[in-house]
Amino acid sequence: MVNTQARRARFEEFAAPLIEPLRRFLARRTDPETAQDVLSETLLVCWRRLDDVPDDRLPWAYGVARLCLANAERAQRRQHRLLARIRAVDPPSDVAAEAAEPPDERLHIALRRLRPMDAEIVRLWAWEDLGPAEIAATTGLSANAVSIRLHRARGKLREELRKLGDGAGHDVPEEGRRP
Amino acid sequence: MTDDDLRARLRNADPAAALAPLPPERVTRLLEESMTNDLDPSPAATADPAAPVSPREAELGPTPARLARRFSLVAAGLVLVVGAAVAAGAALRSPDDSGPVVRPAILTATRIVVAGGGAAKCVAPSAATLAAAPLAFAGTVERVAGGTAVLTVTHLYAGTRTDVVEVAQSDGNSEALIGATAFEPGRAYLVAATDGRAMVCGYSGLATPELQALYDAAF
Repeated sequence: MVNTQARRARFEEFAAPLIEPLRRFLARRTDPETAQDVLSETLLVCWRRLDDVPDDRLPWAYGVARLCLANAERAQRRQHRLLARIRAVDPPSDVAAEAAEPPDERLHIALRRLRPMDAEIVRLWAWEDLGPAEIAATTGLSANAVSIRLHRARGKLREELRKLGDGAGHDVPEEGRRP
Repeated sequence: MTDDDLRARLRNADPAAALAPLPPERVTRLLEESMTNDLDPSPAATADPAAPVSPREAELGPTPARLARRFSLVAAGLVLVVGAAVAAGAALRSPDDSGPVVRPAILTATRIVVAGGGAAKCVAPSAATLAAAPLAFAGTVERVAGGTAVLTVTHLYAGTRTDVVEVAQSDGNSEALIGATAFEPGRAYLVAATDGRAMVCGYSGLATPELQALYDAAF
């Protein structure tokens, strides 16, 4: 089938350059096993939606990965709830929580204190290196809303870092808030 | 700390910094798997033979303008409820129910909400806006209890596969938002939702021929 061949070639050309950015995107947000599953799922969606892909494909692909990850996490929470119900005693621990803590723990704590979407906007800006229009394409917000939220989120992040005693040394703060 | 300093600091803490690239053969295999796991690339295709519906997962790609419009439609007073709860079959369906959606083992349920005072300013509903909805389905109301209507999904136009959708009608004022009638058991509805909120303004309601036509045009 000529059409099928052409479509396969188009997909390979489209998806191959996306794999590394998508892997990094997922590695920043979930555990390795989930990242692998979600990458496969994301590529499957890309294959199915090949005809709908906009010109700026990477933010779009991040958006796909974001939704696939949200679905996977929902499924995990469901599973945990079911398991918790079945085994009321000694429920399974959260895999992600056990993952090795990344460097600069204070920064990660501060990030977690932002509202989830604001933290995500900051991550997309800093880690994925996206501009407001691209973040908008990834998150479904408007570019204008992204600009405003990014500005505020950076301010809030600085403020949280200050509250965590930033600049007063490199020791990791104790759990909870400082007085 | 300037924005640049902040970004530099974030980058230093990038959890993916040490991630080694995949070997080329793994890349090839990944791509191959995506294509062979889904032999029929049409939108109606589903990789899961047990799937009762045609999930159009990840309804992405709406332009920001479209999204902005969509958000403005649902902006007023609608509250987010986190989606997806699960229940073992019996909890949500009577045992003798053999509706069109027959699923083994675990039943998936999605929860959305209708809330607020109906202050949304409505423009005429458009198929293009509806097409961008992350969740859209046809369903029959199984029961209404405690302000929550439980709908069995008979057809999924968009969204992740789900068997049951619970629609929480806060303040009991879904009437104004959903349409002429609130959810009544046994009747069929068409419902679209974004971010866990039912889309109102003519996008959700009784499955009238007009609304059905809008859904047919959108999906």
